[in-house]
Amino acid sequence: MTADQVLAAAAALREFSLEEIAVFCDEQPPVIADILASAGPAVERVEQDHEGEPGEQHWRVADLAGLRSALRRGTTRDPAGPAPDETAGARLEYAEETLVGCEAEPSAERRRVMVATAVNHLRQVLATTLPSRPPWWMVELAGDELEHELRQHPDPAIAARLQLNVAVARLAEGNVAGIPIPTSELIERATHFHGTIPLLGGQRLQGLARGFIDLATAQLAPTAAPAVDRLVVAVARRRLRECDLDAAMQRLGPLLRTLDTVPDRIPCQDLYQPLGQLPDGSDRAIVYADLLQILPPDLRWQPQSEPLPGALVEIVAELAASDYLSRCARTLEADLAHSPFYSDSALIGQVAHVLQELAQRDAGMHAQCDTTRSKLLALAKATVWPAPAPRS
Amino acid sequence: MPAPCPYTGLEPGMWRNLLARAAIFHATRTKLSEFCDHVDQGGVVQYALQDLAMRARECAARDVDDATTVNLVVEAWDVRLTETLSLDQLDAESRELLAELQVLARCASGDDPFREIFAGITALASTLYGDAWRSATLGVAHIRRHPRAVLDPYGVTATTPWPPADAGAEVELHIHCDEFGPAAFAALPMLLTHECICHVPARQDRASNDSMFAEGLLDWVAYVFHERWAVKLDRELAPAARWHAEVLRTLLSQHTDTPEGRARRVGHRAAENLRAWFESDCDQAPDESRMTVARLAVQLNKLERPLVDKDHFVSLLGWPLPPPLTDALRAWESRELGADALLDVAVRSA
Repeated sequence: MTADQVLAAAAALREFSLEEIAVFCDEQPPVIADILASAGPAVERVEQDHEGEPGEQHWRVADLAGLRSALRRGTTRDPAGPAPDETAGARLEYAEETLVGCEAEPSAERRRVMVATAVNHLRQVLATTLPSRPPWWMVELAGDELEHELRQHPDPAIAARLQLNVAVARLAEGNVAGIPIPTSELIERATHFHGTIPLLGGQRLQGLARGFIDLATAQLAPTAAPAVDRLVVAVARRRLRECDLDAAMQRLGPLLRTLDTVPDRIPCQDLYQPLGQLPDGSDRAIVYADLLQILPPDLRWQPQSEPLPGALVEIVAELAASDYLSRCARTLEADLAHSPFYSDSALIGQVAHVLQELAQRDAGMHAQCDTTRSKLLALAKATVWPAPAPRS
Repeated sequence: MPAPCPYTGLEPGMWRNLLARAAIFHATRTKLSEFCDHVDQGGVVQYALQDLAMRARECAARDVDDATTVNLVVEAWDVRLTETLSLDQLDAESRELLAELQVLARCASGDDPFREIFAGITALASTLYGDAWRSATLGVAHIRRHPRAVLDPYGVTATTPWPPADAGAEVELHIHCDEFGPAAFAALPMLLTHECICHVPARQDRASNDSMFAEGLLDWVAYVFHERWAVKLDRELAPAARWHAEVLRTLLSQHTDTPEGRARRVGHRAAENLRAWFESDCDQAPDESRMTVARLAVQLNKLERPLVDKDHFVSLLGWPLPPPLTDALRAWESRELGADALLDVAVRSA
């Protein structure tokens, strides 16, 4: 056994010093040297003509096939490969945690590798659920066979979990590769997942469902648009994350539809867009939601709808209120037009700063503004998936 | 005059308490496995262990040096063992074991057994890693809770804080004083081998307790080397060290509800898949394949590359192994490709 162990180490190392092979064996160097010497001509001592400690013995394997043949004598090879894999549960949990954790990775390259790692583990789990038992790397996440099998799965909780995993993995792959999934499909998935939320128990799966929401909205986030437009979508995405999961999943479909149907996906180029005047003299307008938070309380307005939930509100306001909102919006737009910031977080932080300045002009608005500012800064700190990488 | 505690942050009284017991476990190491078995069964040997813990606590509170503390504990325990051995109703097996422990314990010294185990492991690990080895020092600390939620006899854990200091890495041994028994002592070589194989020489950007490379694949390799090194480290402790390493391995692999547990389970599986592939595709003999996996993992650990890249490599080791990777592995196995280039192939597939 000892001799076999030494010769196996020799086969693994091929060319080595006595000291090097000794750490791969449980014997001391003199015994190892004797074993090597007795294994000639398959193993031979090398005359030292290269760097090394003086007196250090060097050996090499001269006949690898012969050595292996000797090592295998008396052993039988198992043609079936390794024992059945019982790591599916651990792999799936790891894939889920990696997919959830990717959004916090600042490096795009590392995020790409992390997504691929999670997808590899997920494919290995999914391969065992398919009747055709394909090699795991052949599992198509968008394939009909997988879709069909997951729909037929006898356990609805497992089916819901795997479907969510597949959807998030596809979106994450698309995010890092710049290959979007059709919005209509995302809307259909959002509706489906809304119905399966009760089956998604535990913090990890709820986090994964939020990851789906985040990735879906990231796909439609403008990247090269003016700062105002990026701001509005960034705020809408982050406010959706703040909702409870059920409400967020319910609102996801309409939000995706809005983001996708607006020309060039830009929801708004102004933070105050007048829509006309009503017969009673009041104004209808679409306004950036946070401006309403710094409106003096004596100015009246009524919400009508939310064209972009969490970010844009359609209101009816008295003339003084609409004047005030319009002025604040122009100030904010002017500031954003010269924004040196590229990141969404920095843009939101910039807005928090400008809103504070605007509120300071009006006595009595400090407390209200502090709250708005704190909420905006908390939004800025939230970690979200970035917009998809440009397609390579 | 008491010597100061050799470990920063560990109270002298706590140090002497741990040292006294470790010194006695070290002195009785040839009987450590039987000691553990009897403790597990309860009864008089378990009482003897509890008594040892009590004597150690009492003597450690005195302001004396390490050697005197150990002597005092040995003497006090000796008296209690003599009393126990005088009992008429003692079963023969327990009597024999306690008598042997009593004789062996009398040889206990005040030398630091933690440092001795660590020095042996670092000497072997530094040879394995060569120029990539990072010097390492040992720290010992006391923890107030068992390291795992489910109690087991291994109330000890080890960690290597990341990033290492310029002067080198510090391996911290965390011992739950109340649970420090013979099984925990016997598991120390494995715990420290894990740190020295997986973490001390690691070249990467960050540390992560859910890394399937660092906590999984490399942990499997650490077990391979522990198996090889156990006798070299301490021939008399080797049987108990090997046995408790395997028990600990089984126990930790069951903890799949923790990131480390998952990483261990999947990483060990990846190592076994890789072994099977080397045997089936490269015609390697069983023990050769085990060492080839170990050699590859050590080479990868030396590479100054992001940990996510190394974790990605592990993610590709699902059975059967995918073709781009097998081509690269074949080239690495035949020395046509370095580990760096192999990792490049793995990451390019991402």
